[in-house]
Parts: sequence; C-alpha cells; structure tokens
Amino acid sequence: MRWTERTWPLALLALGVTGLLASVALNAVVLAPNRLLTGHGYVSIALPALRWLPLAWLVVLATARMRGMAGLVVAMLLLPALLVATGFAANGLLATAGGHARVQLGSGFWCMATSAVLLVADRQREIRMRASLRLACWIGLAMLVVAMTAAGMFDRLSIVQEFVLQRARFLTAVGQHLLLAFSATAAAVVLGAPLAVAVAQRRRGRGISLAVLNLVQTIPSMALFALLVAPLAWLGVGGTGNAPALVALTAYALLPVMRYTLAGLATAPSSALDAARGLGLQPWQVLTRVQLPLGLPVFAAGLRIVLVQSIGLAAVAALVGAGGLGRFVFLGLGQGANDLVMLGTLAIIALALAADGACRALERWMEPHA
Amino acid sequence: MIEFSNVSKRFGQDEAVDGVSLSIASGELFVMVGPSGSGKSTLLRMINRLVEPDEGSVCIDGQDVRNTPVTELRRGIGYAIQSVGLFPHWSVARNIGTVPRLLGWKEDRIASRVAELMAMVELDASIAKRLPAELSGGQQQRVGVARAMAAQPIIVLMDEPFGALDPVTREKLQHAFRRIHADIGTTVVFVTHDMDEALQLGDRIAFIDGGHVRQCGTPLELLLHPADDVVRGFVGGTSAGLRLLSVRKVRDVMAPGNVADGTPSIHAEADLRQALSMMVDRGLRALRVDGAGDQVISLDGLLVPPS
Repeated sequence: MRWTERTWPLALLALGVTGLLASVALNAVVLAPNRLLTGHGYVSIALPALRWLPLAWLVVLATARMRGMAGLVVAMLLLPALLVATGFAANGLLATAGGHARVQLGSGFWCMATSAVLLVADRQREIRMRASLRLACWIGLAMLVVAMTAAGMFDRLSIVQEFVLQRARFLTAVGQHLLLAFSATAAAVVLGAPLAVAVAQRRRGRGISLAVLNLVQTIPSMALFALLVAPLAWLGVGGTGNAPALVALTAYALLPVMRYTLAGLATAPSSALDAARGLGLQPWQVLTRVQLPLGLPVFAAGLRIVLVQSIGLAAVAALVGAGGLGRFVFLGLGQGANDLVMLGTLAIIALALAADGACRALERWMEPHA
Repeated sequence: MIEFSNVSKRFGQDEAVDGVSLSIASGELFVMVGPSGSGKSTLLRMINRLVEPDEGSVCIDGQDVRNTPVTELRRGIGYAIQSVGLFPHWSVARNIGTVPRLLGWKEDRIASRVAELMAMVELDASIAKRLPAELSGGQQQRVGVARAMAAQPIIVLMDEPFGALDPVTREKLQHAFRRIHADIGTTVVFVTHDMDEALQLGDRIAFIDGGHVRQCGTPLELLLHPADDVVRGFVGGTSAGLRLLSVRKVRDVMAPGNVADGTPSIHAEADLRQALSMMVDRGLRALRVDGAGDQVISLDGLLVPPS
C-alpha cells in the first residue's frame, strides 16, 4: 500500500458514489400487484434484507485506495451478496402480498449491479491481472449466478418467473439469435474479405467501396429493414423473416470486415513486400505467405468486433419476423412488461460478452502459434 | 553481362532516369553511387523488373529482361535492400531459404544450403530458429545478404544493404562481403550514396546524378581524373589524398630497400592508408612487407603516382 501516492482512483470513486446514491435514492425492487400493473417501489434502506447496502458501498469507498487483492475480493463479494439479499428481499415482500403479486427489479438494483460488475473489472485492471485469470474470474462469477438461480434463490423475482414461462421459446430464440449473427458474420467475411483484397492496391476502388459501405452504415437499422421488404419480396425470398434480417446484418458487417481486412493487409511492412516481390514471389504468394499470416491478429480482432456488433444488431431483426432475442424485447415493450424487455436485453448482453470473451481467448491462444 | 541501352523512366513529371547506357561485366562488383534521388535505385530495380523503363531496354547476357517471365527472372537474381525486408513471421532459416523453397528444392538440400550460407555470412548456427525481431541490425543485414545469395543467383542486386548500420558493423560487413564476392564471383550491382563505401567495394563505379551517368570507371580513375566538378566535389574535398591511399595496395608501390632489424611488417594486400596509419602510429619512415623478401614500403613510396 502506497499511502504517500497522491493519486485518487477516480473510476473506483465514481462507481462507489454511484452505488451509494443508488442504494439510498433509487428503488431496489418494485412490488407490483400483478405482471402488468405499476407497483410500489422500495429503496434498499426500506427493506431489512437490503438495509446493509449503503454500508457496503461506504466500505468500497473507504477501501478505494487499498491496492492489491483485497480490493478485488471486496468487489467480487459485492455482486453475489447483492443478488442473494435481493432474493431474500423479494421473498420477504411476497410473504404478505397477494397471489398474483410480483417483485420486479428496480433501477437502484440495476445501477448497483452494473457498478459492482464495473468495480470488479476496474480492480482487475488495477492489479494487472493476467488475461486468463480475468476470464476465470468472470466465468466463476457467472457460474455462481447460474448456480444460485438454479437453486431457486431468485424464484420469486418476476424476471425469473418470465423466464420460466418462456423457457422453451427463450432457448429457441437464443439459437435463432446466434445463428443469425454467425451467418451474417460469415456472409460478410465471404463477401467482404475478397473485396478488400481486390481493392487494397486500388485507391479508387477502395474509396468507392468504402464510401458505399459507409453510407449503408448511416442508414438506421429499422429503415434498412423496411427498405429491404419491397425488393426482397419482389425477388421472391420474402420481405419478412430471415432473408431481410440476414441481408441487413450482412450489409452492416461488411464495412468493419473490409476495414479490418484492409488494416490487416497493411500490417506487413512495405520493405517485406518489396523484398517478397524482388525475390520472385507471385502476387498470390505475397498475399498468402506474407500478408495474411502477418495480418492474422488484426483479422481476428476484426472478426470479434463484427460478431459482437452482429449479436447486438440482430435484436432488431425481430421487427421483420426473424425471431431471436429481440422478440422478447419488442413483445415486452408492446405489453409494457419491463421484465420481458430485461430478459431479452440481458440475454443479448450476455451473448455479446461471451462471444467477445471467447474470441479474445482464441486470439491469445493463436498469438504464440503465429 | 548486364546492359542498359538508353533507358529512361519518368515518375509523373520527374525524370528519374534519363537516357542511361551502361554495361556491367560478368563477375564484376559494380557500384552505382550518387546523391539521394539521383535515379540509382530506379536503375537497379529495372534489372529485376520492379521498375519497367519507359524507353530503352535492359539485357542480361543479350536477352531483354522483358522476354523472361517476371517471377522466373526474379528468382534467378538475388535482391537485398537497406530496410532488409525480412519476413517478420519466419525464422532466420526460413527467411534465407525463401527462394530455394520457391524453386521447389528438397528440404534437406535447402537445410544444407542455409547452413552453408549462414557460415558464409558469419552467422552463428544457433540463431537459425530465431525470428528477425530477436536479431541485431547487423545480424538482420547478414541474413538479408544470405537470403539474396541463397539460390546461387548469377546476379545479386543490393540497394544500400549496409546503409542503416553503425560504422563498425558496417565496415565488418563490407569486408565480409568483399571476401564473399571474391570467393564466389557472382555479378553484383551495388547501390550506395556513400563514396567511401563505393571506393572500398567497387571494381568499377558509376557516378549517377540527376538521372544521368556522369562518370563510369575504376575507383582510381574517378579519384585521379574526375569527369567534372560534381564528381570532383563528391570524390575529392579534403580527404581526396586519403581516399587515393585507400584504393591502392602496398603491393603496387613496394620497392627493394633496407630497414633496421625488428622493424614491423605489413601485408602486401593491405591498402596504403593502413600503411600510413602504421607508420604514423609507430613513428617510422618505412615498414617491412610481409613475405616479400627485401621489399619495403617507405613514406616516399606513398607519394609515387599511380601508373
């Protein structure tokens, strides 16, 4: 511990203050008489099971300047503790409420949960934790949450009840969502990467193709789906369903695919390219033996970003009937059932984060082999 | 033999090379020297068709280079450049074996050739598995030279291959290279902007300026009879006399004579600059010449004009 150092961990303080304010000023949970009616909110200090939360945030603030593992341990404990206590709070509230009553998670809970997650990330960064250990931390936390859910600790929370009601449809939607995002990414790579290779040496071709793709990128996703309905219907593949969703997602993915491919191709030093040509490598050999292997880390990073972007954008695909997790979001919005919206949103975030983590792990694994 | 016939090349408005005719003999170490942007690299790159001339032709042994398929042409010509251009993802051995592999040599033949080349450029065999980033600048440059020589090319093109090195490493590599060239007798076309390097290495030197050849001749010819003031300015200046000493050998000026017993000796192949340095260092007016009977080299001998 270096108390003499006059630097303040600003990110950590901001997270602590956010958590503290959320714990005293925002509704941690909301008790609603049924699934759709607006309920009555409870700040955490109003409930016995959650009354300790402001104190916990004060502990976070008090230990803000503490370095090393201790800070990380405090941060790692906070999230599971918050979840368990919220489960108990829900049980307590429902004990005296009617049969259709539900406990929804409030803005205070989401604020605190988000702060707690960011706190863990910040502490990991601070102690310069190895990437593999970081991943292990997150997987451990995620498994803990899943285990607690499976053990029934959150059964009385409305979001879990929504999940139970929708379980079969939810799992199908996860599959559809991933299929859509992966196929759009694959299609964009199949189309975009060769295009990038073709225009890499041609300034005009590169300018034109990037301009067109930039233009596509500026069209709002909903408008693009709408624009595709008529031409695709005319082509006979149907203006709704998977076809327009796939086309639109691929169109969005093309720009990053091209940009990253171009950046990857440019990784090879110009002297190596000059030498390669001078030694008699044919153009395709320069590409496959020099440019592609050297650009591999950039290509991998690009693929990860495109995949994460597609998982996020695929939510909108539900609008044209392509299914996926976006269905729950739009269904929830239509019904005014916030928990359904949260169910879809959280699942999409979780998928995106998981894809990101998996790709990063793959990139690191590839690095020493390159 | 490499023959440039009246070649010209423009890049946009700039006349990079303007009506150059040159012929380079087989087995020669031919140096093109000149200031930056003089067109010497452009000329060099015309030989392996990295640059195509707008006018004129380049012939190797009477064959226009345009008549040979470009990859075949390049695989028969070694190429080493100042920025080295090693492939950063390949080991030293793999880099050196690039062209033999392209030519489809068997793996064991490539391996033995790589070992032979590494010994030739004085690289320790233990670094064969290292990546270029793990080598010093001098080692990288040696790898670059070895790679250029790998498939026993009849011609080797070198574009300022020692330009980015510190003076000590550079001199070591120049000596090693001179020796390698003497051993294998490949035609070498060597581009540099450093006149001392040109005088040190070249059998013949072409002085290139503004896309023209101002003078072409042996180092001695350039030093003794510069064609014009530009060449004079480049070869001469305050060190003209020292340069003249450095291109002449002890053998050229030694004469029979007597020196006191125990006088230190110098090798007949050493240059006169080294002889002068030794005399000044030891405070002597004459030195014995190694293994040449009663031959000596004296201070007066240094002043004998070249024949």
